[in-house]
Amino acid sequence: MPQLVPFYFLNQITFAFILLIVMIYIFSKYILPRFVRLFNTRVFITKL
Amino acid sequence: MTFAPLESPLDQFEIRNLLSLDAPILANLQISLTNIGLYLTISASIALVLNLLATNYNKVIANSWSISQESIYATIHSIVTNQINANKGQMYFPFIYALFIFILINNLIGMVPYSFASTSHFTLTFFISFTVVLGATILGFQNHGLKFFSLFVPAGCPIGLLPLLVLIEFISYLARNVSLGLRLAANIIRWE
Amino acid sequence: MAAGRSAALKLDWTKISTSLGLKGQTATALQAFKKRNDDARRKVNLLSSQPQSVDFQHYRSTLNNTAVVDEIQGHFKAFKPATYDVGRQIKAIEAFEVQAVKSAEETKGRVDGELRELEKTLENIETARPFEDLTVDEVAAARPDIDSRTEQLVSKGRWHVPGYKEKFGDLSVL
Repeated sequence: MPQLVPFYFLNQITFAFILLIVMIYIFSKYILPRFVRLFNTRVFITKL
Repeated sequence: MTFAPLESPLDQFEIRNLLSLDAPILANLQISLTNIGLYLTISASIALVLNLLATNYNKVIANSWSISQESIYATIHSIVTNQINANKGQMYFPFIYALFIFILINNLIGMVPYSFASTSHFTLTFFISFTVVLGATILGFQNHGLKFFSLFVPAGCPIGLLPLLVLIEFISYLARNVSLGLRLAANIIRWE
Repeated sequence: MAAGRSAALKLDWTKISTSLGLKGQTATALQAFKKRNDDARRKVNLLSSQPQSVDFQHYRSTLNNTAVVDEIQGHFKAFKPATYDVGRQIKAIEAFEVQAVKSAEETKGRVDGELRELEKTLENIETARPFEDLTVDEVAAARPDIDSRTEQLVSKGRWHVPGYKEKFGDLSVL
């Protein structure tokens, strides 16, 4: 089981950590606000 | 094209180096891309690309692709508002969203034959569960101070049973770290 | 006032009330004004159609008492139509006219502005793309407050739009 070797253990954790951070950043900065914007637009259009 | 026969059923969980950089000149720097790293990167890319493409060209009216994204959004949003807090809990929505999508896509990739199930690795699942629970505990202390310990006291318990119950609750709180990670990985391993 | 009278004669009242599409106070005021005008004209017509000279010669030949006729003739000659000072009224009318012209111009400006807005809306409708092709960017470009509202919600850590679920339903699968 190579994942018991500390190097691979660290490698795996580092990958997961970096990817999660990147994903959270991109989601919260770019992707999820677009949903809010879309919902805002729809609410506004039905109020016309 | 032939596939190398698996020597053992556990071979598919083996971690391999796909690409590595050894740099003894820079303080023994070792950077390597393993198969789990590759698959984690693939799943993160799928999550991001899917969210960038399934938008129906940014139109106000959704098509079936973007409706699926909206459905995921609404589902996770309702989880967050129900489980954390209807108003303040929404702050953690992007984190829960990213976590959910990441684990979901990793699980789905694991179902593809001859691919690699990254969530079947206890290292990954324990890392995620321990990190989240540790973070939640820190946040609990930060927001509620010492009142956070009232979590260990069940509502309306008799004073005589209190030490015992607090002990049990404390153990279950700690066990949750393990059980959350274990359950995910064990399920995925069983799938294979 | 001759020009005014001829103008009043030329006025086509039915056309005014039908083509301008006046409503409410303006219409009733106009009706009252028309009635007054008609009454005055009828009175003037009636008076001017009556004979204005008296044949005293005829009375003198038929009546024996010519002294009475002479007296009446003297009175008739002495009669002068009472002059009525209409200056003040004309002044009031002029003031009213100025006011009316001003408000009419105001109305005209307002109507013109409305017309321009309507034309713009019409153009918008004519050049608009079908609703299915409308993008969020286009709506947000027309209404920048959508973006500012989104930014405000997101920066406060709110990830849902109030009133959205009530209107469009909850897509949550749970």
